[in-house]
Amino acid sequence: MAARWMGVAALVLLAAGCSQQEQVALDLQPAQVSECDLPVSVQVTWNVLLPGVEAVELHVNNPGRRPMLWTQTAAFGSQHTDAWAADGFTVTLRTLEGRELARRTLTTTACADAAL
Amino acid sequence: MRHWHARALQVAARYRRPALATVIAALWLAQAVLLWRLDRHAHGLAADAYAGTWTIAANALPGWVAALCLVALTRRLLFPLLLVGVVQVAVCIASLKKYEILGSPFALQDVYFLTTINRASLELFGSYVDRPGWWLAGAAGVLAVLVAAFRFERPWMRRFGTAQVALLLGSGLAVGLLYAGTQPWTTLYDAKRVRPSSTGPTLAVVRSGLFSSLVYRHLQVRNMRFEVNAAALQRTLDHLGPPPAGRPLAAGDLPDVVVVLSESFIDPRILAGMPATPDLVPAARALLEAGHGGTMAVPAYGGGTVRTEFEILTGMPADAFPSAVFPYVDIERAVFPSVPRLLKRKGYATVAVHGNSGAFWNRIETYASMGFDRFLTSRDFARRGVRREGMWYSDSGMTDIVLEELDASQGPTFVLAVSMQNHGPYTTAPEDVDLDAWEATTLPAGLDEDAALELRNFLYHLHRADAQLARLHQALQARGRPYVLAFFGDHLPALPAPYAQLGFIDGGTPESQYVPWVLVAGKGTTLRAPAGPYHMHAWELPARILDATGPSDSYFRFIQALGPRLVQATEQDERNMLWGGLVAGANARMEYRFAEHADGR
Repeated sequence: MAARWMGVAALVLLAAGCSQQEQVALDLQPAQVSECDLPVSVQVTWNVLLPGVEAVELHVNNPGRRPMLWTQTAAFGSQHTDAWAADGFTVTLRTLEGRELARRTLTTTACADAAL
Repeated sequence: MRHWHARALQVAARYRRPALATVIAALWLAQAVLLWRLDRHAHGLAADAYAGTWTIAANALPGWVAALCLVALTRRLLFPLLLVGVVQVAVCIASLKKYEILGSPFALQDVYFLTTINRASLELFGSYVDRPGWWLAGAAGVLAVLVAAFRFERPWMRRFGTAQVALLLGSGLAVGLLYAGTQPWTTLYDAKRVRPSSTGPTLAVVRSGLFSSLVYRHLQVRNMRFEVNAAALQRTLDHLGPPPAGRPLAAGDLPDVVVVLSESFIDPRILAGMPATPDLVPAARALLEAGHGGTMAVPAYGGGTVRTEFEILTGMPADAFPSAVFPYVDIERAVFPSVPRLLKRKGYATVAVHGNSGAFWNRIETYASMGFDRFLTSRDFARRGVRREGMWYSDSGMTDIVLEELDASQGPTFVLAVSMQNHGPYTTAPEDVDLDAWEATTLPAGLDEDAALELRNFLYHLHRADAQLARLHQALQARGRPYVLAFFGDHLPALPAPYAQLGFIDGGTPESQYVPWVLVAGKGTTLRAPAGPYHMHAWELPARILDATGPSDSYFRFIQALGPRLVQATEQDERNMLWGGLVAGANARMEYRFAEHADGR
């Protein structure tokens, strides 16, 4: 009995790690840059196909900063940031009620000759 | 049929334990993935940010090693996983809260508080917890689950059998090597993999996960060396030329020296909208306008008082020791070169006053190695009947103690006072304050309710701190003894909402703002440094204090010469050269070899 419950628990936990919301798309372009090129401008594209969601909010933040409302707009679209996205720059897509739909983070590759 | 049923039961009984063990092993793997997701969530990142086999496994590895130790000790598989998981969740929650308030993740040095947990630290951290009842109930529930898991899980191996002994030896060795900071950990968690940044701990957490970054920091601290770049130091010493000559005074003339680190003391008029409100720091402003100070850059924001305190007491920039985020915790010195130690050698009585636990930030040990004769803490505040104003012991009570100490002393005295009254959190409803004065505090327009509460709480206590500066200054003047008074803020308070809603006058970030410093060379003393508003680094202040006091040494004279040159340097080459010399000088100082370099020229 214990083994069965543990098996169920393991499946639930693994499923939680693999869940996807296919009706919500949020992309950063580029999604990864060289650390040497920072800060960069990023194109953010979103598309939400959920019933009842006509408009969304996009919140942005660099690491250590509070997320701030970047734009409140239609459920699909695309917009450029200025060149202030740093390593770990994160965009969070939310409904107008504040429910989080998706989140994407800009990552970097090491700058070969950058001093650590 | 009955035969097949019995056979199935036999097979089930035979494979039940291996199946259970497999499931638990799968849980260990799932725990690594869950920990990664929790880590990303705690730091506001997307779940897939920097996710990879190495990052996820390396972030989980310290927990696995700890869990294996527990497996070896308890002979159970599930209980260790649950216990380690609880600790990891607690650390991630702590990091999330710290990240929200200070914009900085949980640091290795924060673990230090767990080793010195007492009523004061529980009080301080508890003040940041919403709905403590819920948290306590949750903790009790978790404890019950852990106890149940321990009781119901049968041991998996024979007591002191081969498996248990092998596990004990293996996991013990892994923990021992980690503690010692040696291989294979130094290879597994090297800079290429963790990708730390010189700008702070956040990027290492973003790129490799909280637990990987903690292991990396631990390895750095364990392998810390004070490396003196003798050529860089020599170049800077030559560039600066002869240092200002010392000017020792006769023992009878030595002034009392009072240094006040005022918690989160700032000029509120750096915030947009504040210049139009009544002045809340008139005493500090009057002294600044009379030429007794200026602004200074400090190595902390929103917290980390000890970084500024370290610079003020030693004249060494905290950034000269990048492995030591919190120098009192990370740097172990039996004898800490510092202002109180120097003055003690010149016949001073040395006293530190702080209305909180002495264990906080390892102050008891560090102050002792810095040469403080006595350290008066919250216990002494309570014994002397000091009242609290807001959440913490009042600045007026602290001033009383400083003046009592000076009056009780027979000779020249150095007093360091580290205030508490204006310590956060600023989000609580006002308690134990003068409500009329609290409500009368004028705020700029444009703040929402929460931000207004935070800013009003902060400004109320800021005004009280300024009033104590005026009182202390007057009292020192009235004593008729020579004195030197230094007063400064340690960092900007953590007020992210008011900052976001008002902004700063200069358009900069909270981290780029400066704090005020005041230095009054009172009766019987003189200050050779130029008068007037002067911008500097926190590590320059002790050289100025000593210049006004009289006694000094070759290191502080080096700082006295270098500081203004670094502030005024316009060429990057000169700045780099001076900074390189400063770092080398601070490391030589820490190795007790600065005089050797300075005098050997």
